[in-house]
Amino acid sequence: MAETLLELSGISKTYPGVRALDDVNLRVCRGEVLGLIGENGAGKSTLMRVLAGVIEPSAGVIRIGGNEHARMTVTEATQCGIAFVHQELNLFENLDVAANVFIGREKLAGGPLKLVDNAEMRARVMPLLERLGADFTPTTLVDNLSIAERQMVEIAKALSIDARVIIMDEPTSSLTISETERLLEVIADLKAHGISVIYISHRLGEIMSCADRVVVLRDGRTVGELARDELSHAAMIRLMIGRDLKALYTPPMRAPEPGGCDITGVVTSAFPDRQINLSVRRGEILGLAGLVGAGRTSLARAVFGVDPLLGGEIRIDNTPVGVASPRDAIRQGIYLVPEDRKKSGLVLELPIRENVTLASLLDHARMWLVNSAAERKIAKDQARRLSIKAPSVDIEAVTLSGGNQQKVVLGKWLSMQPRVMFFDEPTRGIDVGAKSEIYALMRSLADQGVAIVMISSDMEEVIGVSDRVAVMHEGSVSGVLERDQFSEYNVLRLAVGHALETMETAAP
Amino acid sequence: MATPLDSPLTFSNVGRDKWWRSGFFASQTGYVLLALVALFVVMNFASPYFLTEGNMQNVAKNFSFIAIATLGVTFVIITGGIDLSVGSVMCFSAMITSMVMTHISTPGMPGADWFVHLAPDDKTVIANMPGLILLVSVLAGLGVALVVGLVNGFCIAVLGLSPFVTTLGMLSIVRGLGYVVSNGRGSFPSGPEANYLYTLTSGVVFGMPAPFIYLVVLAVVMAVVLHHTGFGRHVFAVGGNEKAAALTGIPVVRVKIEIYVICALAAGLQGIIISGWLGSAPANMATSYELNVIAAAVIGGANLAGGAGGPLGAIVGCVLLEVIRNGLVLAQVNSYWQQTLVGVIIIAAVLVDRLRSRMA
Repeated sequence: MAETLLELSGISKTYPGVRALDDVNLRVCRGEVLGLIGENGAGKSTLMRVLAGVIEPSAGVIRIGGNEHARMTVTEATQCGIAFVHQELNLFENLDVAANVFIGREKLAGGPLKLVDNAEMRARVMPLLERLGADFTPTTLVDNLSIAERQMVEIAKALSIDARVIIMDEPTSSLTISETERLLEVIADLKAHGISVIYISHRLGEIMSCADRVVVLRDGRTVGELARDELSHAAMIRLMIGRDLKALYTPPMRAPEPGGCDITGVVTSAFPDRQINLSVRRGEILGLAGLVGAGRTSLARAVFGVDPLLGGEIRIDNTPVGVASPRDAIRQGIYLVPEDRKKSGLVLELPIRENVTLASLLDHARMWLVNSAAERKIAKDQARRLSIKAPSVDIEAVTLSGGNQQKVVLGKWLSMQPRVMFFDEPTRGIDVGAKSEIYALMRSLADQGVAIVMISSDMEEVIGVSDRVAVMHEGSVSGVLERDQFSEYNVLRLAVGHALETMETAAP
Repeated sequence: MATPLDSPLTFSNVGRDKWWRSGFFASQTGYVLLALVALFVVMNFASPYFLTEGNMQNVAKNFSFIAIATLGVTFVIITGGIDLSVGSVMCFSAMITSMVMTHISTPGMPGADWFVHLAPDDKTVIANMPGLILLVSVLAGLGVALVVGLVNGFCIAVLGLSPFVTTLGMLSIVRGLGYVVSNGRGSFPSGPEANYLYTLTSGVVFGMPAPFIYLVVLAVVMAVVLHHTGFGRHVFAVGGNEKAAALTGIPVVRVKIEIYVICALAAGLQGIIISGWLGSAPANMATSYELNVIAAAVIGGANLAGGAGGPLGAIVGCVLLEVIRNGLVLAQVNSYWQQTLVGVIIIAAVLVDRLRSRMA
């Protein structure tokens, strides 16, 4: 395994005023899985884009198979066998799988018309799909595939160009637990065939289970390298943030109070034949776990009034509430922090100030005129309370990092009076430091008497942050775990629809 | 990265931009305005007649003839929509206004005796209450515009049809209705109060044409509405990210219906003003004006993808188009060149913005 396949040495990349990469060295051996970790903004994506030929480094050399390159183009990188499975998958939903795999290098049938040879392309894609264990065909429209399946298409594309290195940037951020396991199997298979994988992820558990070696970046520098036998969560986190992270769980300051939100017999449009029963007390953080597609987001959307409620009742503090629209829900103090902050949480072109006050605007308006002074004060208060890192509240939300954008979304709701808050994947794609700030914030909200439902697919988060965990399976709640029953094993069993082995205290 | 709450933060990237690279001067509206000033200077040297009071009044009147509708369409464009029916609505509103005025000013017509009576000479028609005829006919014209706006808004916001297709259909429907109600002949205002209409639309106050004054008032109102009311903020939010707006509790459907209504009302008012100046509302009036109106909005910096635009930009766009037209006439250039040049300017204005954002 010592044969070096490619080597990046002394790579630097400076943008005006920012040093994104500073003398980074990286070596990839044949048939190894290299974990690349670091907080957001540490330079992982920039480094990979240098390797894939998307951006040009300011200094440094890329050595591949004995050749030195000062920079690469996308075409050169592809010819060298480097394939990139992007975080946002770059597929054409309106085309079928085979067309996507061969996009830009379509096989042509002979003859003067240069017609595309669809049969040939499909025949070539079929064995790749079989190898990946995919259960769709080359003629399936990508539009009909799930995110995990689309990822398989991207990997098939990489295999079709005889890739020697496949870069995967946060490949599991939208996958379910079982899909993640499937992907890790595929990675093991790629490795067995001598293909190297550079695996970028925030999920340290996955890194632990698949990486042969881990390189840690911080502030654009390589700060450490861990061999397989040195890997541990603590070691990785210490290198990533340069300090030890405290245990995630902070117990509530006071016992959960009566009252809160009771969801009884609720039917959502995603699962019209299932009923959901769920209670969350004031002062409590209820983790809502389950596989992606188990109906967690549909439940949140129904309670928030986005999707119609097909049945059942929602009570807050034992008073039934009607939620026909998000406006109704907001009036009742039910808020939703949505899953995809860029697409559904923020208006990116508007400044922080206007994003924060967007929901509460009319409360501060007199004769329909917005009170600018009050608006600015609210935004500044929230920026201070949430420690949003920005030079002023007048800068556009688009310029902020993921963690700070999420805080702006939170600021929008915290400037009003929440009673029940749904957080849908609140820390997806957010760096470790900002994550712990968001956990602390959820806890302090709970301590102020807010009932909190946290939807999360991140097992560490579910187990580390929640006071209780409810697990959903195919549209209904399959079980609720108390803290002494918390374990990955128990959550997983409920998530795939099994009952707990004994409903007594399970081994941690 | 977890900084303690009270630690002072410094930002090396703040305050580096030169003043001309940020804010208004870096916006498309800003440098189109700059181009306009340059054009004024050039025209002043090119033609001694250009900066005369008569010519300036002429220019002001002409651009006011599309600028009010441009204000309306700018609302729609900010939300990421488009309204192609404005030209047809201008014509239809004007036509209904003059037809209603004619109808209720003709003694003997049903309902007309509420408004007019005959003088003792049995020929002269006298209004029962001065101004009432004008008011009712203008309201009738705006009323049909309101209906068109509601239909547009309903189809787009409630039924979820594409704005382009809906308003393209409405362009044809409304134009067709105009031909139907007037039998293809158009109409002209008549009766004792037609002169009021003429005065209100082609008069000159303090040296300024009346339409220009309406424009300035409406533009100021629009600026306040866009930047200082909840509704205005909602318009920008819907244009910037409709999904996030809905999840924030903004009544997206209502906002969308409202902006199509505003747009249609602005077009209706514009049509009535034009017909007052023309003295008639021919059935082919304002044909293809929607393209000028949209072009002016886009030149002035409204973004067809939504999220950006404002009254100043709308006006600047209209003035630029009119000054070029006027300049070409004064320079005795073949007037057929005008349309070509307008096209070049649309692309150039958007191109400069593109180049600027690429350099930044």
